[in-house]
Amino acid sequence: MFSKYEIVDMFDHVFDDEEFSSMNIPDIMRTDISEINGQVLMEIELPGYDRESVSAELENGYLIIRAIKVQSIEAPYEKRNYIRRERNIGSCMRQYYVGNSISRQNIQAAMKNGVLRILIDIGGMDIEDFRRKIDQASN
Amino acid sequence: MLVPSIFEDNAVTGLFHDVFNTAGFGRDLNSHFSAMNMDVQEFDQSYQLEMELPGYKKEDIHAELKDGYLVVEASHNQEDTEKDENGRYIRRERYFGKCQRRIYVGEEVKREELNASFEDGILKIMIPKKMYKKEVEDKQYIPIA
Repeated sequence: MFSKYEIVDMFDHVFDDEEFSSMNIPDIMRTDISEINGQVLMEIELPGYDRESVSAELENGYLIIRAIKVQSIEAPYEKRNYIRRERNIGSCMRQYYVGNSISRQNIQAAMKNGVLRILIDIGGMDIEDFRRKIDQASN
Repeated sequence: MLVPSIFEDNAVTGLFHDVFNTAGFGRDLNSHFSAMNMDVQEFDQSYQLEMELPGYKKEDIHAELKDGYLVVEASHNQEDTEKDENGRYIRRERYFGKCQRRIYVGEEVKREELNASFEDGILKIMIPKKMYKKEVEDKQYIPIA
């Protein structure tokens, strides 16, 4: 069901400060993660999806983002006449390890202009403590 | 003479400077990944172009016709970079800056004929097809006395 553009386990090298390599940047669902006002902000690019097509769930310490492409009834993709095709269409998924201390109440999500913004409340925890928790949990 | 074919890129796009000094976004051969991806569909009377511009605001996107090229430009405003002062990046994959793409559509298309909309991060532009009328030659009649 999901396209081959699947799991990039991005919190694997958790909060690495190393210079990021362009090799690790995926072609879809590109994500910025930043810390703002003590909270963790994730911004995931999902152009062309509306909010009904996108789901976010927590499972075993992973935040899993799924986007489903719904084809319109009048014009399924096979019948359309594309003279140029660059976009990835179809469903995609990506998961981010956030640890087990995060629950649904700590997460707010909103979709705007094709970007899914997720705010994670780490409960006033210091971002370094959060980072350490993740490290411990993944060992 | 090399004629640009319709909807091909020509003199590919500008300013994809990557702040982290790695191989940049762009549409050239050196890029590892691409931005402003677009699909073009052909219909009976028109073409429909859909270009990905996630995270940009409608006001920051500009499209113009110039010498047969549709030029699409998008930038982020300074206010969006709140993170620089108040926070810091933990991971950065998205391109954040100005980008541009030029697409050849032919000189017969006029600005008023284009229909553009922006939704869910996709810029959609409808471009009418132009029928190329063969010019009827003016026959040169020779008067016969």
